[in-house]
Amino acid sequence: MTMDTKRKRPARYGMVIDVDRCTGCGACMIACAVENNVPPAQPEATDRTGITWVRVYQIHNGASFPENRTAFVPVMCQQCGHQTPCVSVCPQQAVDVDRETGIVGQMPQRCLGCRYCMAACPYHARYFNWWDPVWPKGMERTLNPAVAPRMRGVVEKCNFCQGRLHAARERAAAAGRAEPKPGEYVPACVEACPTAAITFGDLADENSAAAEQARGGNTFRLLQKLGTEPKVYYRSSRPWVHQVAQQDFGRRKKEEIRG
Amino acid sequence: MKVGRRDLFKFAAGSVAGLAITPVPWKLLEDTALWSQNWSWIPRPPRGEIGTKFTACTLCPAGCAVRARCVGGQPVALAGVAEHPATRGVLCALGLAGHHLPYHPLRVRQALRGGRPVGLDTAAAEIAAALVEMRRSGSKNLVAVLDERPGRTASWLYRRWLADMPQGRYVTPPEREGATLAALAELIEGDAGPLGLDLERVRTILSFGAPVLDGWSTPGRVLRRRERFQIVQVETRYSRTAALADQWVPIRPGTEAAFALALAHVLIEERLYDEAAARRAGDFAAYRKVAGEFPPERVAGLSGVAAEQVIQTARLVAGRRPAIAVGGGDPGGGPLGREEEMAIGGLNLLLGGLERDGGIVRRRAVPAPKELEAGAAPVTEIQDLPNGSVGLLFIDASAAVDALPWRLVEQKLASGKALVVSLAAYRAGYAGHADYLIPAPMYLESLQDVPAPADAAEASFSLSTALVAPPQGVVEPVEFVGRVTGNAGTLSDWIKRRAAAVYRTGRGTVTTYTTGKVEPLAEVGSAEKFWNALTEGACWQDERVGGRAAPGVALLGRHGDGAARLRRAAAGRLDAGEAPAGQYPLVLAPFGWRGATGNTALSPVMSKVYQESGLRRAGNQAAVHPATGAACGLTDGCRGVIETQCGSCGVAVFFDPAVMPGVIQVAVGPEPPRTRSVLEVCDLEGGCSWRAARARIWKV
Amino acid sequence: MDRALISRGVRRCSPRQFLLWLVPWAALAAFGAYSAGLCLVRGLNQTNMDNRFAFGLWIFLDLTVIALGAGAFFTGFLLYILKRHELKAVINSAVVIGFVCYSGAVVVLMVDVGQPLRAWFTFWHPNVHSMLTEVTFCITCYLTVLAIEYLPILLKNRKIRQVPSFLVFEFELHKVMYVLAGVGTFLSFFHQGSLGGLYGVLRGRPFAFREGFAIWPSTFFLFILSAAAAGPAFILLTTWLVSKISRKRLVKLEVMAELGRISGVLLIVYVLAKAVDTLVWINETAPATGFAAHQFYAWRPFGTWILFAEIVVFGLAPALVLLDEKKRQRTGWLVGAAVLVCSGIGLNRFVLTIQTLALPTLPFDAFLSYTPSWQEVGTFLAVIAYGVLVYSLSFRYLPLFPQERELAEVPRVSGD
Repeated sequence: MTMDTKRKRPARYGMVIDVDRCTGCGACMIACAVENNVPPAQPEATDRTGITWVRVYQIHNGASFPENRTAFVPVMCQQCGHQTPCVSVCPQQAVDVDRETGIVGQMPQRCLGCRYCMAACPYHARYFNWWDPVWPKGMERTLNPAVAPRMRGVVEKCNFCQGRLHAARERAAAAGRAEPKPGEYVPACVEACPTAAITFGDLADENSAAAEQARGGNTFRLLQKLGTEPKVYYRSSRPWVHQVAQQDFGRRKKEEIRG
Repeated sequence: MKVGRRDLFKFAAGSVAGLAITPVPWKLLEDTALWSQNWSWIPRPPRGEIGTKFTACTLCPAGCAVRARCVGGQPVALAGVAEHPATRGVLCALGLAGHHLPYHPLRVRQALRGGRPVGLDTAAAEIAAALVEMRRSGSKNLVAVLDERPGRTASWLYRRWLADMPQGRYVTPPEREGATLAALAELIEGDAGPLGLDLERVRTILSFGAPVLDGWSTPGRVLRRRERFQIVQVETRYSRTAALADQWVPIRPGTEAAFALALAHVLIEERLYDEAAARRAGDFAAYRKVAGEFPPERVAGLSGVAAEQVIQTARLVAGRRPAIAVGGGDPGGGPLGREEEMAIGGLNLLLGGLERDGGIVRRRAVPAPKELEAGAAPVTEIQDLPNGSVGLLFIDASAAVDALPWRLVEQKLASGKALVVSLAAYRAGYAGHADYLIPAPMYLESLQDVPAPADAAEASFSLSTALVAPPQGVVEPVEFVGRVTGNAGTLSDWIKRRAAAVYRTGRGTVTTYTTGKVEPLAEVGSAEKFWNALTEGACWQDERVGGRAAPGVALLGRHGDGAARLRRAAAGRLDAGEAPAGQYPLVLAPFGWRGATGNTALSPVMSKVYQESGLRRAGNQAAVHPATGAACGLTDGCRGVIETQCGSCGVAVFFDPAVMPGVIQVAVGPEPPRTRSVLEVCDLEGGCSWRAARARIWKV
Repeated sequence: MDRALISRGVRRCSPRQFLLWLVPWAALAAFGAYSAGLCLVRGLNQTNMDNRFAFGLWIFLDLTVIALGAGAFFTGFLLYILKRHELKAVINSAVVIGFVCYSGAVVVLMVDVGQPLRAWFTFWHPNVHSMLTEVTFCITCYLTVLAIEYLPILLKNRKIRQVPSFLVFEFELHKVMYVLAGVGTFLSFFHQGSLGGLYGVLRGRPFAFREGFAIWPSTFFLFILSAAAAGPAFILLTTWLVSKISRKRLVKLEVMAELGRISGVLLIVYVLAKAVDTLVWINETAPATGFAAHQFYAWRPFGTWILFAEIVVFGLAPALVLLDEKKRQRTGWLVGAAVLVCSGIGLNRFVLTIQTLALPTLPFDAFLSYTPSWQEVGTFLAVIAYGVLVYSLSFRYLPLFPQERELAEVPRVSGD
């Protein structure tokens, strides 16, 4: 095919998550695991050794019953756009930022498992394969052929379902278009969210719903002051959510944190 | 030439140096990278032609439409179907991983007798012989089928067959999500027929502990139009629904009836109620008297909710009509009592919600084949069976959803010689208590019909088609029961007949998923074409029933004892119990998530929301307020024992400042192996509710 | 046989006694090898590290032993480049210690990575922006240098010297020793620095993140300084320890005092630099990333005491002792100060590795703790046992301390 598939302007894929809509149901986490062939937990795995590319955190306003309030904050790789902390530290270039999409990619085949990137990531969005992946007998039939399962000893993380991007591009190319139209490429978590709390799109495209929402009021990003320009925005109309999620480390009391 | 030791050394050193300039070591080095990716134990996803198939989820009664991405015919990912009129593209966490379930490690692939493998034919013959022996000996014991998913074609078959047996009983778990509607039907004069909730137009949902936003009704109907209604959540636990509700009213456990009556009291006192509805109620004066006994000031003492908040809640709900009050209880914590449901039903009437858009609407039942409907056995809820009466119990647990304590089942069994046959896909739930375990096909392995759920606003019908082959040796539960009881029948044939019955109504519309096309059923052409459309991905939805003259109602029920029962329930469930408050100073309140209450298997990747993130509490994890915990000598993260009058069980204790002081919230769900479920120590409160029990806890 | 291997003019304990000394260390090494084997075969799930505590005991060990092993390069630098000839008395010992520390660290690193088979990827697909690439390159190169530096010492063995060609080889090696020392020094400066940079560049970890010069954060330079200060102190300490255990005088007191003085001078510079760096961090760097520095110390047990201990107790105090001419003449003061210096370097590396990871960054995340598993501890102990074994064998059969023979001839002076 000789079709010109170069796009004029690089995309900057990102998402806006409406915290007020998130019910903490975990559908995003399950859809993500199914899409990306993330194995079930080993019997001895914990919330600190398990792998879930998107993890829904429960945050609290710090008050006690009945003034207590809770919100759910899904945290996946925030796809940092500036001085991406994990990219520069990787000794063998297993992490890269795709210029065309702004997506921070992880090549498990290149990774030697030094975990330096995990130490570098302020969002704890990177996960290490402490075990070889094991699916119950027969269940390997249900694996997604678009994503290779990872072996023990390598790091993995959310890549905005790169497999879906490739598939969408192929479909677009088959239809004679250079790039997928908005909505043709959405990560599994976005598609699965029962309350449609996640808006995904090209932030560089001013007219995209995601860009519009990101610009709108009530949004914030996690650890914005680190200056890494994450491409995942959060939205909430509840002031305490802003306070807790954005609060500087310094002004926080220990009691406010669960666990 | 003489070769010395030194020459050998030299040769060896030379060889090593020489080898380094050959490609061998470098190739080997490169291979190490490949090895580490391609170890034989790293599974490789199978390749094949990629396609899409449609089915419907049977993991809970909502029956969401499912789009399955298949590789070589094998489903590898499930998603919702946005074109489906009710489910609107929503699939919950359970449903998203439903295609894993056929391969669950707990899968039963062979009939078991007392835990040991037995031939299916042998098992069938032995159970049939036991049935014959029961009849021959003139035993008065009942033959019962406990159907955990009523309403299916299989359910109709059970009912039809059991009607032919003098001792036959068709038994269901206590009504859960449909309980409020069932209670309302009791308050309406004449045959109300099925009722439904018009969630499409409701503006306020007053929920008494129903997990409205967390696995309730058809999630697509609720979650995709969340902006359009307010939720007032009346619940002890700070559940996810409470967290996202517009108002959370934390009440003490077991005081729902009192709170509902207090709301009624305010509605009546402030004349906020629907006067037309009140005029239709023959017993309004009597009801008013009962409600009058529960003014907000008194209920504040009972429920722990300030009188002012009671009044404000009533005003808020009355001010944003149409409003619906729902009970139904919790998937793990069990149903509310019938009196509570009566009180909630009464609130619906006072709010003028009956026969009104955005309120409670009538709908038609999903038709069933005439041969089955005529002379079907009546439905008995399990708590209404006499204790010790069942001699042979079949449990169709193939579609279990909500928790049902085994003790509740057990007390119905005839002492000593009752035979329990569990028909299930997994070694989970009651499997351990059954004499026979008959392997059933799992979701996606057999054709099933998906009728409208209990609270649907109109009838609907779709099919859950088989996308994967079931393992050898599994048998459709209803067909096995038929075989044992001497009734031949193939489920799929009967489902087809039901579809034909639906077709004969000529009403409603058919939505085809691939195109999103909605066409009137009458225009489909033939029953065969309708069937083909259903199997390829379509659903039928009945039209809404038009307005009818509002019927007469009885706010206290039609049995005359309503007022007394309501008074008793409203005085407080816990205080009515026998357990001394001094010995058991705390209240145990179990809770769970729909479809994840431990009586069936979950996809192994559900570990993401349990073990790998702690997003959900796993079974037997107990949350207490830090102050309560400290007073009981507990520490955050410690192991503890909970004791009630009914026994004790081990739990993992967590401190959570969101828990009401004095309450122990324990999750019902996938519990660690060899753990006694907390359900087994819950108080059964007359057999239909186990949501609160007096308890104590200590650290071990 | 044993007798013939021991250098002329020195006395060593009986083979039986030596064997008894070796056995427990060998057992420990074997246990550690088993632990490490488990980690290699079954994977890193054998450790208690996790996604939050991605690094644990081993990285702390690596950073500490490499800092302590810095004596090798720094002594070489002083001896060969700056011509401090009195250090000839300890250079052999320093090289062995350096070799032991570096090789131990490299072995542990191999266990620590998830896919050791791919260790060569760093050389094949290097990311030049990564501090870890810098570390990997420098450490492997410097280990090679150390191995070559170790070679002439090995060749000094009485038995090996009997082979004439080896003698020639050794002589030739000595001629290039200046080059090697130079290369070693360069490499060492770099990787000691990049080890510090490893954490200093972590923008996402405001506790560790530091601004700096060019591409190097301030920790880069602090690590060089602190390692240079700790290296001589560790040589001083090991020499004293070996002397005590073997009950022999190995070097003259002046040499010890000189090591102490070098350490003291460097330490005081380090302490000052560290203090300035801390002040800049508290007032500039940390607030710029949205974090108030004092709150890093709000989590028990990592209070501000740790900062005080690091700078004053383990920094300023031993520096002042070592800078005092009179105190340097007393073995007790010297050794005591050296212990403080070496502990201080350990504490500093601990703070940077462990405390950094324990602190939450997300505002709703928790402070975490971590306890190493027995497999991690076993591997850790194996490195120590391996070091003791290699050093013991070297001490017995190689002339590590040239002054030993000379000192053995004069009667023992009491009170040293």
